[in-house]
Parts: sequence; structure tokens; C-alpha cells
Amino acid sequence: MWTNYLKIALRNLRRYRGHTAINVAGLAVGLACCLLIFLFVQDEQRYDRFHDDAGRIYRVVNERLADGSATHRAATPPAMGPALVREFPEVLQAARFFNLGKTLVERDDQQFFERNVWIADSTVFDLFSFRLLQGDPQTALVAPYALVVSQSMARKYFGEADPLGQTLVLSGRNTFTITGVMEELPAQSHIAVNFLGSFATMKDFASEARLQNWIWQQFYTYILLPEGRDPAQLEAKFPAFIARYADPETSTRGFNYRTYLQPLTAVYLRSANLRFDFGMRGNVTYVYAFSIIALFILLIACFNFMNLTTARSTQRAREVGMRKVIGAQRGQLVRQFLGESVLLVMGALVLAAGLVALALPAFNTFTGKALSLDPSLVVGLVGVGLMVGLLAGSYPALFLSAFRPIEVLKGAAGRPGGGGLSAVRKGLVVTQFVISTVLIIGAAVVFRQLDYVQTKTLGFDKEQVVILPIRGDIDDNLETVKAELLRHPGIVSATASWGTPGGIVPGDDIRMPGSDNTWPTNVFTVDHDYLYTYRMELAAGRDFSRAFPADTSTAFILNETAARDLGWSLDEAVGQEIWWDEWSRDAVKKGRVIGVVKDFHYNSLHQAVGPLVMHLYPSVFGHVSVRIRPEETAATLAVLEQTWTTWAPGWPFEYYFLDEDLAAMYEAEEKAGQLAALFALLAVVIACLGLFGLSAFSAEQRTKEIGIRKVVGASAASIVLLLSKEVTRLVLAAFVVAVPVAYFAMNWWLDDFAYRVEISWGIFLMAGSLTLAIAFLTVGYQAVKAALGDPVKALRYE
Amino acid sequence: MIKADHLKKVYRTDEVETTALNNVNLEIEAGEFVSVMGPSGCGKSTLLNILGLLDNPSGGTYNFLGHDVAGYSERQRAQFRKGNIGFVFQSFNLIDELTVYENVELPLLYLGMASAERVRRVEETLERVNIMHRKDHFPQQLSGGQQQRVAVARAVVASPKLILADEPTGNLDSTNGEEVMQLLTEMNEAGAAIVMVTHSPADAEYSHRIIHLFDGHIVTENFLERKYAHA
Repeated sequence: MWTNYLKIALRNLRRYRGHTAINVAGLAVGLACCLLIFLFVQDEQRYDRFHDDAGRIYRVVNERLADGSATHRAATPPAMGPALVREFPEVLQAARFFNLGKTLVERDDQQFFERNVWIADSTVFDLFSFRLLQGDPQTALVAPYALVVSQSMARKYFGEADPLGQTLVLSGRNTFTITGVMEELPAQSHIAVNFLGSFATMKDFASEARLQNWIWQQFYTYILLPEGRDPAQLEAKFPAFIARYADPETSTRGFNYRTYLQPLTAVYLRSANLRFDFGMRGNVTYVYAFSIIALFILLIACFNFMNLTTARSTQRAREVGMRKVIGAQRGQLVRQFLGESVLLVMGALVLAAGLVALALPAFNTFTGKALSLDPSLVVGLVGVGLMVGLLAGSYPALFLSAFRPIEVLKGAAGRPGGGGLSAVRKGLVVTQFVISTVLIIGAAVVFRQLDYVQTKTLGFDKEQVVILPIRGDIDDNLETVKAELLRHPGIVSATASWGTPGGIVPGDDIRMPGSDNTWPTNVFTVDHDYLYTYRMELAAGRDFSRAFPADTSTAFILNETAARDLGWSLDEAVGQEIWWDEWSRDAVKKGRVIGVVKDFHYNSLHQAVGPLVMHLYPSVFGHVSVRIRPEETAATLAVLEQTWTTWAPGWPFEYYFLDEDLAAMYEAEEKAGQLAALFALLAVVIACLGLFGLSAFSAEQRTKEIGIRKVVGASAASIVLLLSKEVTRLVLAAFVVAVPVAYFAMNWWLDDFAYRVEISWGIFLMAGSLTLAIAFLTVGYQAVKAALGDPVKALRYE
Repeated sequence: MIKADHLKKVYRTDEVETTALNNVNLEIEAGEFVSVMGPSGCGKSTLLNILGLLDNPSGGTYNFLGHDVAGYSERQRAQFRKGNIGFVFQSFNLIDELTVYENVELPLLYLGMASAERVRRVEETLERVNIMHRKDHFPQQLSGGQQQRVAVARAVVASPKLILADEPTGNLDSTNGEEVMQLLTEMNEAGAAIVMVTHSPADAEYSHRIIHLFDGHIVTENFLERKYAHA
């Protein structure tokens, strides 16, 4: 019997090629989208699962509480890890990481800036499945200045030579000996490792007392718990632990923290609220969003299948009737038609796999992933094919198998009255267009927001600013270097600072005179030309000035938020005294506010502008920001490089443009927006493909009606209108449903930004007109074809 | 074989109630060949559908092979039709996507017959209706007469006790029509009872008895001279 089903299915598919093509194409594109999204989502969720003990490793994170405000931080104090192991027997191991930032690595005449350079406890090899290809994990990170390098770094610096026992110089001063070569980590690791230095080296970077402290939060601490241990039990003991160890120190600084655990496997996707995190980050919102989009696209494709198949049911009516007359039970017919849809879906799936294989290289470039079609996916794919086939085939199978033989054999069934769409089919079309419209509105809102973010007045001029790190002798000769630069006509101004918009934003504290309580704020150390170079505006008071020599030691500038948060009006703020504990010295800088700068966005627009204090504090600068003229940028860059070579000989020339750097902060959103737009477009295309098939069918059904109308004098235009009317109604109905859905969904997304656009009616109107226009074009073709046909032929046809 | 008493069929729509059959009493014996005649809309096809278990009567009783089938569910009727009743329609109703052979084989597939037996039966039947040489053709490649011969083959391949034919020659020219009537007669002589709806007095002549229907009633019943083999 199944041979008979298969034969008839294949012959039907061949006979109605156009219909089959539309059906298979819609399903294939839909399935391909889903498959791509599935690969993406699967990869996102695979992060850090390669560690043997992934389920037992937790990252220790803090919620820092001060003055009623809380910030979540990924970093902990250096004393945290060892104290946890000492205090709690269930903490089997702890390992700390300390990031050295972008580090100059040298060997003989080779020198490169490297990222992912860490100092780590020797226990990292006990916790994580980091595999050493050379060296002993028990001893590799024990001695001071021991260094484990990744396989690729070993090859980069030592080629084919044996790296063990060789040396590398880090940051131009510390000579490390290679004690191990580590196998490259999979891409799905939130920590990327090029170099791991031994923790024993830390004592040369910080005093023993500082390494025992509970205030300095810059260490990433991971712990290993026993099999099956509920982390909540351990977390419950943290408050007493923190009260005993940390509070005595932190309370003098006016803050304390609440410590909690983050499962290793959640670090990548669920760290959006954590600050001071060095790890790679995904965003679980996008994982959810894309999963929903995939489901939507699949639904649209399934609905197409249902619509087209039931619309074309007349062609199978006689067969159904005859099979029933002969004695077929309804169940047998249902099985037959479900089998057919599964067959079709399997065909579409093969095509989809082909499409995905073609699209993967571009998709990988775009997402920065290395996704591939794994043969192990086959079982899953067959399962999906079965599921989709059954889902898409269910309604047609029930519909077709319900035909009554007497009616179909007289040729009465399968012919919807008036050639219109049945209620169910209307419902499916409306749902398709609801989904399409929501996706279009979603994509439009994402783009509007990104445009807003990128063109918003940031409180400074981000164009034409080149930023260079301070290296070599630049630090000691800053004023000379600046003067040298300014001699070039292409350079407008230059300023040195520790703190740049979108770059380093140092967190620090200030105090009120006489008080021990610290007030957390961001503190930028700048020189006299900072506000001028960045084109920042003052809201009150004055800028730092060389005309006031005391500015160097006693002047502070606040931003508007800091003044407001401290309870001062702009004018009151000027003249107020504030204190700042000087770094690593037992000195207090006591000064007064000389001005208030208008708020500017030094972080991404996801975050509200926080309080900020600026002051002059020579020789702790990180970067030189240079404003250049837009003309002859290349020549100006050459001057910068020349100056760099003079003052930082032996250091590779480094620079970046501020505007590009700021744009990079929204890269994730931008890519997500582009992907969402692409998938929205595909969803609309698939929906239209179905509409095209459906309208072709509808026009065909109404051939006789159209013929009669034309014979009695209807114009072609009125026929087109007649045929388009129904679709217009459906699209409008879909629009009414889509608007509130999209409105709430996109408001939820926008809430993630501290500065956001309001969703305007314009966007809804645009999406509505766009969907309607596309639907019109789709139906219009069929309508015009039908309207221009020869009525005599149409009537003879019946 | 068939005994129908006071058969009634009423069709209801929202506004109209139409009585298609009213108090029809009918007995048909095994091996009998009965023609049903009457003007359009007199209830001929309705009667045929009820006799063929494609539809249930609104009233009355219907006994088929000793079973009271009037109140059967659709599922039971389908089960009962299988192998017991063969149908021949005016418009042939062959399945376009199946070859001649496959069309004829279909009833046997639903009977769950073993493959070798199927081949034997289908080929034998195709020989009987003289269409064996066309067994791999599709319906569209055949003449009307050939198509109807295939339809007859499909109706008889499972050796049903009853063949119902609804104007089997209505779409055929006289030569082809005659051929089909010859075939039906042969099938009847081989043992199957036949109930045939027809407008053609000539075709009716092939049967043993002619029933005239008018407005849902049997108005006359004529027995012809030809006697059936299994009387």
C-alpha cells in the first residue's frame, strides 16, 4: 500500500510542478533559516561545556552596595579565592585570574601586542579542562615568572623550536620562562587564553598586603564544588563569611558587597548585568529572540503548505472519493496524506541543507563563528522533518480525508463557494502576515534605535579624534610631545588622560571633607586641554587653566549628574570642597569644584550617565587624544607615527579613531538588527510565496465569474480590485493584531537602553504600507492576468 | 440478498426540505440484474447511493446479506463496502495519477491481499475486459470506452456480490456503450448482482427487471423475459 501512496504522491508532485515548487521553496527557505538560527543558538549555548567539570564550576561574583545603589561586578578581591577554600570544605578548589590587558610580548627582535594575557593560580588545571601538550600541569604555574603559552603563541614566537625553558619578555620588563604549552581552547570558551603567568609573579606587581585585601576587586575567581552539591547551600553561608572577612575593610569605605555564584555554563550568556568583566559575552536576549524568529518562520512555511495543499484539494477530491468508495477508512487516508507531506518536507529539508551549506561561509563571517553542518545533525534533522511534515500535513490530511464520496464523485466538493478563501485559510494567512508585520516593525525599531544611538549628541565631538596609548618616553615628555604635534597644521589639539569616552572609565571614590565615607564615582585624570579637545561644554564655573597654577593640585570639575547626586545645584557646586585619596599613597588631595561640565556619554547608551569627577593629576595618563582636521588624514596619521617613533622607539605604532571605537559598542545590536531584518524579509518572502500560490488558485477558481463579469461590461481595473479586495482585508486585519504585539515586544527590548527612541506611528505606518504593497504586488500579478484574459476562453473552460 | 423496506431519504438545507426517496420497497436477489429508470431528480442516484452504502437512509430498513445496515456508521459502511460492492460511474472516476493496472489493483490493496494473488487477479480481470495491452497506460491516454472498461475491471476485481452502475454508458458513444453493457452482462452471468441507473431504454433491455422511479416513489416494475442464471 505504501508503494501505491508513494507513487501517487510523486506523480502528483510532478504533475503540479508550479505548486510543488512554491511549496518546496517556501519550506526549504523556512527550514534553512531555522537551521541557521539553530546552529547559531546551539553554538551560543555550547559555551564552556567542554570542561569535564563544567557542571560543578562556579564563578564568584559580587553585588556592590553603596548608598542604596547596587552594581554587579564580575571581579572579586584577591583574598576571596583562598579564603573560600579555607573556610568551606565543600569548596574543593579555587582559581583566580588577573588580566594584564594588552601586553607587549617580546622575544629577540620579535615584538607584538597581545591580548588575553592572564596571571592565574596553578589550580586552573585542576578546575578547567585546559590540556597541556607540553609541561606538567602540577608544576607549570608554581614558580614566579613561569609562563604557559597557547599552541598558536608557541608557534608564533618559537616556530618549530621547543618552547619549554625559553623566555619571553612581557611589558618590556618581566622575563618569563615557558613552562607549558596549552592546547588551543575551543571557540566556545568565555575565557580566551594566549598566555598564563603564574600567580606567584603577582607579588612583584602588588604588595603582599594588597594581595590580602578585600577592596581591590579585579580578580576573577572560580570554584569547584563536589558532584551534586546545590550551590544555594554555599551561597546561604556567604553573608556571614563576608561579614567576617570583607565588611571590616569595606565598611570604612562606605560600601559592602553581597557575594553569589554564577554557574560556569551561564557565564557567557547571562552576564549582561555584570560590570568589569573581561570574558567574552553573548546575549541571552538575542538567543531567545532568534529562537522565536526561527519558530515564526517555520510556522509561516507550514501555514503556506497547509493553505496551498487544501486550496488545491479539488485535484485530489476524486481520488479521495474513489478510495473511500472502494473501502478506504478515513484513518488510512489521513496516514496517506501525512506521509505525502512528510515526503515533501524531507525533500525541502535536503534542499534547505544545501542552502545552509551555501550560506554558512557568509553567515560565519557575519557572526564571527565557525559553524558547520555536522553529520550528527542528520538524526535531528530527520526528526524535525517528521515533526514539520506532521504539523504542516495535519490540517490538509484532516481536510482532504473528510470529503464525502458522493459529493466529490459528482464533482461538487473541494470547491469553496464563490472562489474565496475558507475561514481557516483566512486565519492562516492573517497569522502569517501578523508575524511578518511584527518582524518588519521589530527590525525597523532596531534600526531606528541604532541610528539614534549613533547620531545622538553625546556631549562631545566624537569625529576626527585619534587616540594613542602612552608608551615609551611619551609619558615623561608629554608637553613636549604635544607641542611637537601641534606644530603640524593637520592637528587641532591634543590631550592626555586616564579615562576616555567609550574606553577606560576608571571607577574610584571621593570623600566629603572630614568624612571617612567614600562616595563611589568615576574619576578621570586629565590635563588642561581635555575639555577643549573633546569639545565638551561647561554648565557652570570654568575649565582647568594654566593661568591658575593651583588647579594642578586643588581643582575638580564635576559632571551635572555628580553635582545633582551630591545635592547641589550647578551654581552651588562651584566652590564646594571635596577630597580624593591619592592612589597608592597615604595622601589626600583636598580641593574645590571649579566647574561643572555638561553630562556626556562616556559609556554606551545602554547605561545612564553616572557621576563623574575630573581633575589634573600628572603622570598617570593612559592615552593621548588628538583632534585632527578632516583634510589629509593620511598625512596627519603619518605625522603621528613619526612622533610616536621618536618618543616611543621600539614600540609598534598603535592608534584608533574614537568614532569607530564608539560604534563598536553597538556592534552586537547592529548585527542582531541586520540579521533580524534579513530574517524578517525572508519571512515576508515566504508568506508572499504562499499568497502567490493562493491567489493563483483563487483567480483560477473564479475564471468563470470573471468571464461573466467581463461579458456584462466589467473593466479590467474593477476585476483587479475585486481580486485584491480580500487580500487587502486580510493584511489590514493582520496589521491590527500586529501593532500591539510589536509595540510591547519592542518596548521591552528598548528598555535595555538608558537612552532610547519612542516607537513612532511612522514605523507602524511604514510596516503596514510595506506589507500591503508587497501583498498587492503578489496578488496583483495574478489579478491582472485574470482581468486581461479572454472572457470567451474563460467561459468555454468551465 | 438485498431487502429494503419503506426507505426514505430527506435532504434538508436551512430553507428547503427535499424528499428524494419516499417509501421505497425493494428486494434484489443474488445474481439479479436490475435497471432503475426515471426522469432527472426522481431519486435514482439517491437510491443507488443508499444501496451502495455510500449514504444512510433517513427512514426505513435496509438489509444487505443478512445485515441490518441502515444505521451503520461511516466506518462500518466503508468496511462493509470493501470487497462486497463494486461501483461503476458515468464519469469513470479513474485516478489520473495511477496506471490502468494500478487503478484496478487499488481495491485489492485495501483488502490487504498478498502481492502474488493481486497480480493474478488484476491480470485476469484486465484480460476479461480486454484491456491488458494498455495496463501501463494512464487514464488520459485511453478512449472513453477503454476508460470505462478499466472502471468495470476495478469494480469487479475483488469479486463483489453487488455491482452498482450509475449511467455507465452516459459518456460513451453507442459502440463503446454496447461493449460496456456486454461486459456488465458477462459479470452478471458470472454471478454478481447488478443495479444500474440508466436513461437508455436500450441499456435497460440487458437487465432482468426495470424499476421506474418518479418523485421518489417506485411507480412501475417490469420483469423482462431474460432470466438470470442463478434464479
